[in-house]
Amino acid sequence: MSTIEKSPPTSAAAPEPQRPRSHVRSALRGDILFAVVAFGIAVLAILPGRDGAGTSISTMQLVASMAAMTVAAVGLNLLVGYTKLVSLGQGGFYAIGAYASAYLTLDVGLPPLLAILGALALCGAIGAVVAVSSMRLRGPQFAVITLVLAVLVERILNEGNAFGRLAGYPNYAEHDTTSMEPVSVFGITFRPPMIAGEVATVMVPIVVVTVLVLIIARNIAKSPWGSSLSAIGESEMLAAHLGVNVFRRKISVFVLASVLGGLGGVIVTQAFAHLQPETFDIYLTITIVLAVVFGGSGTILGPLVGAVAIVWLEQSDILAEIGSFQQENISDTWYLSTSGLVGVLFILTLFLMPRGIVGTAGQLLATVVRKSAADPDAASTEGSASTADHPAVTTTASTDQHARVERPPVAAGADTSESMLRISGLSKNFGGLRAVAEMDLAVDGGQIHAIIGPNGAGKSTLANLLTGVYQPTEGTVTFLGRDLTGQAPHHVSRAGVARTFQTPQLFHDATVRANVLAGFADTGRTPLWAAALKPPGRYRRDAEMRAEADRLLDLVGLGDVADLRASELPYGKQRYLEIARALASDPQLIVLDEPAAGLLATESVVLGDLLLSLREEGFALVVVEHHMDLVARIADQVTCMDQGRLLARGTPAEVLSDEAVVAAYLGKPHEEGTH
Amino acid sequence: MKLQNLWSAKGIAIGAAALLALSGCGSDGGSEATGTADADGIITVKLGVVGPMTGPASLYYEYMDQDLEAFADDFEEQYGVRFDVVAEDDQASPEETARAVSKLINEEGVQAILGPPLSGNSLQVADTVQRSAIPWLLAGPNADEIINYDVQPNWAFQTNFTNQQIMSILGERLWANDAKVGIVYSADGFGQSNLDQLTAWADANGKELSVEETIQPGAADANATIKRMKDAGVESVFMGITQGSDTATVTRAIEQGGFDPATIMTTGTILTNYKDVAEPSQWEKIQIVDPRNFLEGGDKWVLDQVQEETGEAPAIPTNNISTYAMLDIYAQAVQTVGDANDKEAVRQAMEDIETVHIGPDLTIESPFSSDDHKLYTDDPATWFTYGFDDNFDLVNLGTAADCVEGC
Amino acid sequence: MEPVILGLVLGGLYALLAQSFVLTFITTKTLNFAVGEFVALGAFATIAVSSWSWLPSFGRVAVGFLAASVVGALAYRFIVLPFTTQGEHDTRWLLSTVALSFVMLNLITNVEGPSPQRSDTARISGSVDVLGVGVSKQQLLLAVLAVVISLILIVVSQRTSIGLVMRAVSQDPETTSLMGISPRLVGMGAYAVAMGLAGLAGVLYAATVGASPVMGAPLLVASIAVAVIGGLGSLWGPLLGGALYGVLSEVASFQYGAIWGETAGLLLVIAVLVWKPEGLLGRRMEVKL
Repeated sequence: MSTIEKSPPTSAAAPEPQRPRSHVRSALRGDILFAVVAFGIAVLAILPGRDGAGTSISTMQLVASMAAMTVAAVGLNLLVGYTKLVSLGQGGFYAIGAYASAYLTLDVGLPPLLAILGALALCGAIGAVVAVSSMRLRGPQFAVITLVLAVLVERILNEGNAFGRLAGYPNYAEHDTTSMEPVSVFGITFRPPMIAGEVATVMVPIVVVTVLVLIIARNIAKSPWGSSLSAIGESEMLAAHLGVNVFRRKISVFVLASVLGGLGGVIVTQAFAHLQPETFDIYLTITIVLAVVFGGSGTILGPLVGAVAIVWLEQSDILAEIGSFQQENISDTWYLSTSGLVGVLFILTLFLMPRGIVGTAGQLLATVVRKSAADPDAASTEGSASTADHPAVTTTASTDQHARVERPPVAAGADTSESMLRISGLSKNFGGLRAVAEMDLAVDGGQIHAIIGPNGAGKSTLANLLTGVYQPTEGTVTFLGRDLTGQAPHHVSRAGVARTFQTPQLFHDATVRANVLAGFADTGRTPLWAAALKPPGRYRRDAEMRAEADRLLDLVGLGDVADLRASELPYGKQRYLEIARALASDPQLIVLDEPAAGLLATESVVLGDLLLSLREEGFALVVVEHHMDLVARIADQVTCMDQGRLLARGTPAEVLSDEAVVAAYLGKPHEEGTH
Repeated sequence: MKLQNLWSAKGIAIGAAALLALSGCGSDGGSEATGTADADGIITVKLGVVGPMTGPASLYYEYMDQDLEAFADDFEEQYGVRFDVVAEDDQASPEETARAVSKLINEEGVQAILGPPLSGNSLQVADTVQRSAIPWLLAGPNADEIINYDVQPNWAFQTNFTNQQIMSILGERLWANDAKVGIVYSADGFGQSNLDQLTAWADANGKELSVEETIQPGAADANATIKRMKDAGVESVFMGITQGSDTATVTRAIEQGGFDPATIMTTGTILTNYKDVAEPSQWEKIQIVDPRNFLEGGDKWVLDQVQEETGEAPAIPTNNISTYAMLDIYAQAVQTVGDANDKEAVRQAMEDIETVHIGPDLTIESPFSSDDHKLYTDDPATWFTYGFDDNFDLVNLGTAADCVEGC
Repeated sequence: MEPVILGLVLGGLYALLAQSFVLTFITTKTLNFAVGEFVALGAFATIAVSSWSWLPSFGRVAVGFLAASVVGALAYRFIVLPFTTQGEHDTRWLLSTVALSFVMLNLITNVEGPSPQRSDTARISGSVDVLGVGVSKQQLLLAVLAVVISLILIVVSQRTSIGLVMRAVSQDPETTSLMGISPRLVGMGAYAVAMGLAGLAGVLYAATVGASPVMGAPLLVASIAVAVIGGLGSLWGPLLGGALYGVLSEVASFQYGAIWGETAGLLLVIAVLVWKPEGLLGRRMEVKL
């Protein structure tokens, strides 16, 4: 019996042959629309300054500040929002970008464009060093080390003679002027908004760069590279098991965030033409964090909305007026003025809009959309009206049940002359404790090998040794003839070993489909440039992955809930989802760590069916399990461990009736450990 | 002769005002800031004021506010110039200052700008204001670096003493008898400017600065700094520190470390926020130099007047006085020109001003020239040296010239 | 010798504040980035009752402690706790406490004005000779207090069930709440004590430098640094961290000037975080799958 028949009929969204192409088209449409709207808004923002009217100057300065803050916040969002690393150091990179680009132009004499690139490279290099040194840090410790960095940068600007210190940069004493020369490229001079009657031409590149940064950040967020960041944010171990080289990716994202922080600073230099160290104080770095969280961390538009809102609020008279309103009506002394009100607003945001303005708005919108979709009347009227236009949505009835297994997932015909997985003499010591001792194991394709044993027998440790979480003390692991001993989890994953965890490790806020998408090897393999620039191949691959993800979801019976958030699934279905994600990486061996833990008896039966169907398709499965009825039903071979050693091995019937095994489970002292 | 002109002009204005008041068509108070004389002969000037209105630095906005409140009527009466103040908050941030100044110049169309009071923020907008060709009334900042006299005509005017001046007054005193000199300066624009100017004076006069140390605002102690001074055998200490509370940290360390230099000099900044956090034994030896006579005459009158009119102590006494002088200069210039919109003429009139009044009976004659927009001279005979008694009341020890060898 | 002794004394002030970080971290896995404002709050609360002549100065100091303590407990309940609900990667509390510091700083500035105010309560003038080095009595009091309070906390946490409860709450809040201990109350208690200590430090520190709204802010980075160096999970940590940070920064200041003093302290934090992220006395937590 196969899972396919078990899966509810409602899950029958059909893999239309047209579908990938329509996805390509709709993705392309979405991207173009985003770019057009973004550029449109940018043009509107700088339109008031087109004739250089004096009245537009402070507005242009405001737009420039917003742009600078946006770019820096977009960078920080990659860290705070996706990778879940709260950095308080973005202000430091902002300062480095601003000062380095000015210094390289004025004191070193580089052409301005080269100076800007140099400044960004410097930010990236410093970012890389910080990333390497803070590799093991998370949470408060990461916040502290980045805060210390920002404080050090501030100190250098205040004390370093080369940068004019508190006389600013440039200054009369060193440079005979207090303003940077405007940059000239190809005969066009990019003037800052300063003097009435001069058109602030620099605003054009500023908003163009800002829009490009937004587009690139959007591409990254929606790419497998972006999912890898979320995976690291969820759990570095999980990310590694998805084939992500966590070390390198964390460095890349920190470098990218630092470069964007520096670019924000470059914008400030270009827009204000003079730098004072007072600008780059500790509040700057905090303001950037506020912008990200206020706007919505982990959302594409959040940093933009947050930066625009905060810069506008701080300079507008609204907060000041609220302050004087309190003074007049409540108390002359017990009142809050601008900075205090920003604090209150921020706390309220955290309370009322935990996902920030954009995130919360998006969530509301999604709820509304889903409600109206769930409303049968609305659905039927809308549906009948649009049937002709959207064939993909309405062809449910014509589904061919067998279509979904048309493509066996993996190399079912893999070389079987020797065992797919071979473990020999594997041991692991934790200090004095021998958690796994001299284990041997061989598993073939199309075979389910169950590992059982009482608590503390070393089963999970074995699974962790197998997938590279731990380095073995002795012994070897060979997979498809390749030596995987001591390889890092992402190497093991890339070699074709996938796994699931004791407690499902999912992206709870992401959709079910997005969870499966994260399982594809692309998550670990997509290079940053491809994620950022989104070449045409990426559209095709995204469509393919989407189709394949839907197929896998159908396979595990989650096809009808693909658009729900993972956290909305009942526990049992979260397990299926984890299996679907494991399948996405195109593995040949799947290690399942207690897949039936926490499942109801009926769910456990369905799980058994699913695992059996996977065996049919040629996967090798290693299942660490406690539920003997499940083991008895599905396992080809059973290994029982106790105190890290092999206690018994054989068919389920043999092992489960073994006296030593029974004794171990009943907790009786057994005479001679091994068998 | 010059004085007569002034008095006659003033007389006419007052006479005209009185006449119009009698005839019952006085101004309605909310008159338009046209920059030219209205029916009453009053010129209403749109004056942009920029400074930190809120936050920890708000004292530096407060003193401008106090002066405008206390003296606006006096200037209107004396010169027929009324200030229509447009205030912008710079939040003590350079970027906000740039925006605030742009707004005042371009959107509000102010006819002159008073502030910002902090040197760093002034440096941020120095080029903008200069190129916008608008009278820039710098009553607060002491940094010489703000004005570049190579650029002419120059629009900025400083009525506070500058750090370069203070060093030329103090240099001889500090290095008297070839004493070893050390400086403690705060890590901000004012402090750094002090260091730069003291170093420049030393270089120009073939002297050497033995120890230079910073103090961070709010530092917990200054023990190491004082210890280094002591070990280096420093005999003259100059404290170029913005906040009185940080000055107190240094003098506490001096007492605690048993350091006993012959001379401890600082500036008028000690008058703010020092007394409450220090002990008489710590200020016993401190002396300050200042071009103003805080104890009698016009300078004192300004401070008393602020206290009387606003009910508050002068926020930054030195700057309260320099703001008065600045408003006096500008109001006179506007009165002379008769049209605040003719900014170049007003600027020229400021540069050419003959008599600056500080209160009813203190005058400074022809302080400016095209390459000198500083109110005070650096003639030690015109500066005062002060010490402090047990209540931290100032004691006039004589002119700076009298005290070159110590007082 | 002189820089060592002065460094140890200076480290005492930081250690006292670091102890408040450690206390909240052990129990709730959170740090209060508004600690600097609680320092100011304690100082101003004491000044507010300084005219009550019937209250002995010990009582006035206690008012400073209690004011910070009560506000601290409320801050935990309403500003910190709601932002710790999403598991161990939840760092929203970090942002909410930063926002709290904005609000408190602004409010204190508006109420009390920006200028420092004299505080005579618990003021001890003069200096005392320690191994031939002149040390301000006030600073010495703070340092001694830091040691005494740390020792009391250590003894209490080792000898009584309170310590066990504190650690249990942070490690497994669900189980402890099943055992009838409210993690919320324990958290509020920890914040009350921790912020009370910050307020106490504020009262004593203000007797030297005066009470001003911004008095705590410059201490924040140094005291977090001290807590991190010693290890956020260890009550001994602040003493070791304070001693190391204080001595290193004073020695560097003596040798190379004040700029290098603070920089040396910051470099030490970076070194410790890179080499031993859990701090010198911290224990590493194994990640469990």
